[in-house]
Amino acid sequence: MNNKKLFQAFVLMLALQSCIGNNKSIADFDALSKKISGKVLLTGAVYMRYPFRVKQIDSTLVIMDLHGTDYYYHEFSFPELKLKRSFAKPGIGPNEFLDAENIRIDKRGRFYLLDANKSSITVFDKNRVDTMSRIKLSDKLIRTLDFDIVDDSTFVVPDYTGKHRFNLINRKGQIIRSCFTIPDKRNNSSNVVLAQAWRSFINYNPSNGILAMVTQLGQVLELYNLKKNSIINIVYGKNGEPEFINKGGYASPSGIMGYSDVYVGKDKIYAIFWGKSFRDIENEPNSKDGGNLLQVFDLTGKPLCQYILDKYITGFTVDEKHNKIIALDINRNNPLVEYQL
Amino acid sequence: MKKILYSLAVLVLIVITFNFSIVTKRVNNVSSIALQNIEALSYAETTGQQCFFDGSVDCPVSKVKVKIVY
Repeated sequence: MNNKKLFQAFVLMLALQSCIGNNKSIADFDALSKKISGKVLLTGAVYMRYPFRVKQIDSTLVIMDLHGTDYYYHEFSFPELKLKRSFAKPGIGPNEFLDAENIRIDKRGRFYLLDANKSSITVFDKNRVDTMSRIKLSDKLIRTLDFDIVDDSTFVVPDYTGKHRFNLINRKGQIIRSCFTIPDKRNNSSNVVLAQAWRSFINYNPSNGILAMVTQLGQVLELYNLKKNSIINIVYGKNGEPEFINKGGYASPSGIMGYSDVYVGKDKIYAIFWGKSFRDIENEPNSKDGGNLLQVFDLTGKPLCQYILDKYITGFTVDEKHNKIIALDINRNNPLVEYQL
Repeated sequence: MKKILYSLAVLVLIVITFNFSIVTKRVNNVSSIALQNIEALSYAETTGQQCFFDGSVDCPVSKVKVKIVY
């Protein structure tokens, strides 16, 4: 009788466990891998130290240089790839930039540049090189390292407060809604340390309402539906959650370099994965930067395919119409590479 | 007497060789970062954190993007 009760309790626990883990899954790409080779595109004599983000809309292509010396951004005509202008000068002046985190382009072709050290988003007009306006981010946000445009009045931003997974802010930089929490299973560190370790790159697609977040450390893809205010899935890869050591209130990475960019398409999600351990990077600091695994998921986070690239890339954009990506390989003088998927 | 001196010389030689091997081993064990010591971008005395090389990881000390955070 006792054994029967024990068995019943065990079955009940299993059932409960499956309910709790409903929106969490494991990604395995082992049987879904495919090797592809890229074609180098020539961007002329523009020197970039660490090209990290590339965006392409219509006849415009912009590359962001994370460690730009003269300018952080370079705009090219597309597909000709002729330099049109360079903008966002590093410096401490009122119209200069302390750093560059990401660029977004809206439907009207305006550029939005995030400067985490100035805690601001600067808006540039399509055809003017002077600053159009600057949005100061709320003092309640700590170190916003990525952002995306949700609609004409809203941005989505993660930050280091760690109280919530991300915030929706208005065009004045004020928080209008805070959403969800960091999905850390251990949860034994302070919010700020946890937020540092779970620093993520994001992308939002307004047509399907999906926000994707990928962790720079560890291997986690989070999918949210902003229109329904719901979690779609939390997808863990083999490397799992970000590994870190809490050093005096700072998260020191101790696991792997994970993802460095993500793109939410019409019916697929693309993410570039490095998978290098920090121990290996420390032993070989001159090794190539970037990842060569382009992972493709469906909109529920189910793994579809993994492309093994012949180059190591940092950032990319997807041309869904022609089924190709334009990516950045920082290890070469001509960083722009095109892959047909 | 000669025997004692000879033994002492051998002993000194052994000690020197042993020390040299320890020093060499230590040097080899120091990470290549320390050996190259090219660009320590920042160092926080309070937490002992150090950031090295240009990269994309946000250095919590200097707020610049680095390759390695110790």
